[in-house]
Amino acid sequence: MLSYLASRLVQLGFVLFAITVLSFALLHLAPGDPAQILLRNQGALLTQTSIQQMRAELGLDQPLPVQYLRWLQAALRLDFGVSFRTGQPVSELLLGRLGATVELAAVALGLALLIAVPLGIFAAVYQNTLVDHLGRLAALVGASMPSFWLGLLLIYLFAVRLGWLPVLGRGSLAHLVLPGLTLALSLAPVYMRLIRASLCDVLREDYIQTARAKGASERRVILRHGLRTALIPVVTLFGMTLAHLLGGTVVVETIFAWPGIGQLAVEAILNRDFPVVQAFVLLLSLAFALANLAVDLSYALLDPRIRVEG
Amino acid sequence: MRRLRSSWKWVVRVSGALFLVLVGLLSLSGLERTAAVGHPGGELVIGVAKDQYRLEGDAAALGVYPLNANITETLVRLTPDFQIVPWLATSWEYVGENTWRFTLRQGVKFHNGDEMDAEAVKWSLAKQQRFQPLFPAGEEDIRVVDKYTIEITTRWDFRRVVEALTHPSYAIYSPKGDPGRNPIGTGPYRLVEYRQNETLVVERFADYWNPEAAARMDRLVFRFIPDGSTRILALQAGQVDLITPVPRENAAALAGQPGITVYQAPANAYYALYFATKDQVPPYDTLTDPRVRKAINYAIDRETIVEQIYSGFAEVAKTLTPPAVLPEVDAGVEGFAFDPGRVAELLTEAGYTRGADGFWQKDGEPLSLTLVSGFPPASIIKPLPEVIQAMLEDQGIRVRLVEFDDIGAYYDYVDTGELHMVIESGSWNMPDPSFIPFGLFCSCNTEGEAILYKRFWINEAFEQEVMRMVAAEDRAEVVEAAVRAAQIMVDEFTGVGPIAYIPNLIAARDEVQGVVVHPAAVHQRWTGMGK
Amino acid sequence: MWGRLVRDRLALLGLLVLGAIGAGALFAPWITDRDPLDTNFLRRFEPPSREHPLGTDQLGRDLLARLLYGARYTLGTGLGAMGLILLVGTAVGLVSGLLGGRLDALLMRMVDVLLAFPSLILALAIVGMLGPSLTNVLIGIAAVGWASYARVVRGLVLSLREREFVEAALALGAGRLWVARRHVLPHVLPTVAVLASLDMGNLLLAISALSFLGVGAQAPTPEWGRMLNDARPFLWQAPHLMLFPGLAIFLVVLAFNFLGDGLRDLLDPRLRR
Repeated sequence: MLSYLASRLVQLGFVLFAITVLSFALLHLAPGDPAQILLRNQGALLTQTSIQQMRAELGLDQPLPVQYLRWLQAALRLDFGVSFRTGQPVSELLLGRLGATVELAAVALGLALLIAVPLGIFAAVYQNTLVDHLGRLAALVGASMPSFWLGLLLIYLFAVRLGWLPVLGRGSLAHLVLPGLTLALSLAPVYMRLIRASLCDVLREDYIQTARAKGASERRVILRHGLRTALIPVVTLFGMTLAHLLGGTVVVETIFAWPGIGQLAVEAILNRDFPVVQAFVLLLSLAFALANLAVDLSYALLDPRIRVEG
Repeated sequence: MRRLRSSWKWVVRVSGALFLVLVGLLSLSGLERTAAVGHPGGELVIGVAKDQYRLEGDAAALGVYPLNANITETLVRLTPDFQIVPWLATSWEYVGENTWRFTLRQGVKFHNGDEMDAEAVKWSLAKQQRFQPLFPAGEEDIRVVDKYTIEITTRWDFRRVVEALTHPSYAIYSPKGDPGRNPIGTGPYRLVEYRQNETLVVERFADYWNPEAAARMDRLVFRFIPDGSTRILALQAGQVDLITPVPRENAAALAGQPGITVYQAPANAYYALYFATKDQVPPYDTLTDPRVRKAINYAIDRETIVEQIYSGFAEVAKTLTPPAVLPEVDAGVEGFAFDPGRVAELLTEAGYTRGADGFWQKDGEPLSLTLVSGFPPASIIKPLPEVIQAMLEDQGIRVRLVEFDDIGAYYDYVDTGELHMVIESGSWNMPDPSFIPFGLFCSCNTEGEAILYKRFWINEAFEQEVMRMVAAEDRAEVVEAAVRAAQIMVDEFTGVGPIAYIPNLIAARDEVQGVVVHPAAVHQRWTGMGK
Repeated sequence: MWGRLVRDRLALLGLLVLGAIGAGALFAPWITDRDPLDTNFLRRFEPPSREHPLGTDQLGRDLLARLLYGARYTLGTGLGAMGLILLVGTAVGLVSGLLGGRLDALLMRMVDVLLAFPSLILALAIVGMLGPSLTNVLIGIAAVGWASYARVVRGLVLSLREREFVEAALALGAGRLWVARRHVLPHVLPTVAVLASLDMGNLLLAISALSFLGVGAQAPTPEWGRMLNDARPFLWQAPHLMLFPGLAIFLVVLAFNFLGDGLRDLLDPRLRR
């Protein structure tokens, strides 16, 4: 186990290094001189002198490796510089928006499970019956729905036609319903299929059959023995769906004017607010990489075969 | 069957448990802190565009610019009928040698109780001069004479200082505050709360100096709603009492809704094409030929744009100066009317022939132009660029459209020179006829942000007129120079293609009374409104 | 039994829908005589009628014509991106699997890195930096999409290498390139094709999402995501403007997902999750 952990950590170290390089490289991938962009956003006068000064201030006159090390050094202290647009520290901007995204993601995840768990169980219990097929059809339909379109449809129905729910921004619980639902509906099919597949496997296991033979009620068999085991891979797969969730928040936050980090990122990308984009990409991929590591490790803990292989 | 029923029960139970978990998560995330806002008597909720406040350094202008929440005021004020009136300064005079002397109003209180004095004024003006001067003077050129007197000297004979001081960027702050986090002004409202990208809340200032212009409402809540259609939906749903800006292409449909009124001021902004003529290299040098520039002007059907796209919430433009700013300019310019015949004539004269596909070409190369849009951002100005594109293609001129939803990215692109023309909007935030020509098109402007002249330069004669406008003491001479400059810009050189004059719009629910729209949005006063 | 039947039918349905939409895109000029770019400012926001079966848009253009011609851009970008992804992914996977050693390690670490980024966000960042255009969307999507294919192909190659016929060929001194072409590729391609059809729906969703966010197709290109974005300001005035392009995206993605779901069974069981 230890050697597997060690090799995974080495691998993670490499991945993290590459992530920082890539995030850093984003700045240099773009056309245009960051110094000029910053000056212009500050409304300052663009002269040769002021551009030179700004380049020096940003360290852009240094060789690339030096720039990278400086940036990395600061980033390790969570100092990502200041936003080109507002002049605020990037970490402050991101932290200020994080709450809204966590709120939205938590609600969406909760709603998605609320939809997916019962449907997934039904589909597994009645596998290969009409119920199951309808369930799969629903999952396919859900997975094919563009979330930006679904969001617009929900806005039109509930906010424009019926006037039941607010359309904008953040505030009361009612504000959360539409964006939460939009995001949840795009997540639910993924979970539903996972739960169904996992429960189907478990229900075939010997001990379930034994429990059944002993005369335990079907409900007890499924709840006590089946579901608990079946949910383990689902939980560990959270790491995989995290990417889906993060991508989803970007789109949903934009449609619903939800002041989270996804909206911030889209704006920063369109604004060429490089420090914000860099920090955003770095932090998200970090979270993503760590989540995947956790998933791999928990797999290893649950399934001894992997340890040998690793 | 039994199996089905019992499994239903536990599905319900599992769902119930999950629901409880969800509720728990919600309360953990602190949602209850924002209960429904409600309208306790004196609150007006205003839906505004995206939060564009700068919070750091000399650029900081929270609650002041571009959205003016009436926290601060200026020495002189620009009224809705475009007159300059005394405000925090009671009088001023030109004392010779490029110097103005302002006498300050006595007994004006800042929100912290301090009295406004010359030191505060100098501090405030100096901040703007360091950041983005609208007249050529440094910090040291602003001098405190005594507690209620201040002098400003310009570095050269620039005479539009008083006009420039109406601009909200010359807001007077208490030096004890912080324009980025805690602006302390003299205005009818004081800042209560700011949540970036969400809300800005101001409250009536009880000790406001001017009872005639005091606030009617106790509280104003500005909600940032970047998307225009969402802003409209929020107004219709009653989530906000009033919205501004109103997406122009929706204004007519919105005005037709029961319970909602759309208010407009005389037009004070414009949409126009700027043609790139200076230092352009092939294939982006097509518009160095004035005949092609004129042909483009004749190809645009401005009446249709004004009537069909903006349903009357715009006027046909001949210049960049709407009549409300200075009526003589528009009256003194001939301009261009839609005339397909003239388009064909001019292009033929310029050596183009019409191909079998209906498009103009020369030496086997099609006449294809790159049009860039980005100021204002593409999502705000659209669908106008596409309309222009369609109109030019109708006349056989191919157009490639490049759109940016961000002003910085747009300027970066313009810097590359890979374009033939841009479509921009300009707003007259100052009552100075040289504001746009000097600010955007004159190489003589070395202080401000004249970026455009590099590619959209007009000519020497134009610059001379602009300099005359800037330096003239006599109003009649200013007007004469302004008309002459516009004639050169439009009729003779044709460096621009004016499209429409556009008014500032506010849409409000009918409960809201006393709505007076200022032609320039950055000067909007909220004090007279109530419900 | 039931399952197979339903699945086969759905796959068939998906194939039919895709065929219909593909034909609509190819034969657009024969289906409608309207020009997708032809504006008529006097007839904006018209609801569906005999003359305009799906109504007109904010510039008075025929919505049906725009959707038909738009399929070329949306599907074309999707297919182009997928082609690029398969090319790069398969090549990297083959090289990595056949050559092994340091190069293999390096390539696979690169794959790890790419898979560590949330793909839509990375694609958005790449396109945002390159500048808005449909071509850049294609590049951005392909740049993040090839990694998972490289990993799968490498896995397949590794398992094939242990099979006797490949071992024998290599032992007989056959060139690696020849082995790759003769023995490995034919075994890899079917799996990759099925994976691609499973993935195509998500790819199209990502492309239209980027266009919707404003970094994709430029006006007046009738790309579906862009059309949806253009329709947003008129949501309450003319809902049909956002209804039809969204429906088009949904149907195509659904058809690909039906097809993929049906083909899934053909896959090597190890790839099934």
